[in-house]
Amino acid sequence: MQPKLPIQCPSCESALSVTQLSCSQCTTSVSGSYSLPILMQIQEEEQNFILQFFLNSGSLKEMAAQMGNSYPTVRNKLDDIIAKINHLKTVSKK
Amino acid sequence: MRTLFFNPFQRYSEKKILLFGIPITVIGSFLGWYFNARFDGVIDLHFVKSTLPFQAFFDNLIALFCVNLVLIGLGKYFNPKTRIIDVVAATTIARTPIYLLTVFNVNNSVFNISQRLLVATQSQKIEAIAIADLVIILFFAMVSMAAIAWFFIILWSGFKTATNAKGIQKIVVFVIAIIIAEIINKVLIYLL
Repeated sequence: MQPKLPIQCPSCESALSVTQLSCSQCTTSVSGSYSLPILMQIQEEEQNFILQFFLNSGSLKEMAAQMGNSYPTVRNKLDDIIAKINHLKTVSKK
Repeated sequence: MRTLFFNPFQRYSEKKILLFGIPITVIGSFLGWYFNARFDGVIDLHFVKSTLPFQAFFDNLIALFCVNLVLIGLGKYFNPKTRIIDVVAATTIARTPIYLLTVFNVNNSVFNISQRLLVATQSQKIEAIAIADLVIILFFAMVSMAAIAWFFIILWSGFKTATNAKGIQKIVVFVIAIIIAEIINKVLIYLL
């Protein structure tokens, strides 16, 4: 099972940041404080949606047919993700 | 099954919904003529002594025009990406519960009962009201309320999917819009 990348603090629900990266080959580790890229800050399901959108060359109609949903349902999902990303961008600028 | 009866817009394309909605409107109009019903409002239905052919069909056309006029305008205001076809598809199938109500007037039964009740109350002879009449009319009233609720659920689901509207505030505006459509419908029927 692929472990899920936690993006939210389980204690206070704030956004988590990366404090350590390590090389699996030579075990070198880098420490610091790096915020997660915006696309990593959204839910895994939303990330998959964006990936599918990209793989379908941005065709919502094809995505709707693939997902077994209507076109407006898929478009609404995309609009919600866009709104969420815009919100995250505004928050990260502050 | 729940999706099919209350929110088919989530799954089915606007073309499929229209493919059902248009015949439903025609069948509903036929039922209206056959069971002597007048659809004289967006959320209104009255039984009369007799109806002319196509009367129910024109009633439905006016009701659909009014509800679409208001909801397309509101939808575009809520979300400029709203497609007209999604709203039209939703309004055509949302009226299904109202069409189904007409079958209660088999042999003009509901009309005759309401006439008897009207005569009894106007002449203040309450004791003349038959219990069976009261039971039937109360049962019809309850079914009518359920049908109106079903109509609102289908229409809101379709409108919500078409416009991505969310929240109580938008539901309240939506209900007000339906009432406005009802008023426009009444004025048009009065003028035509």
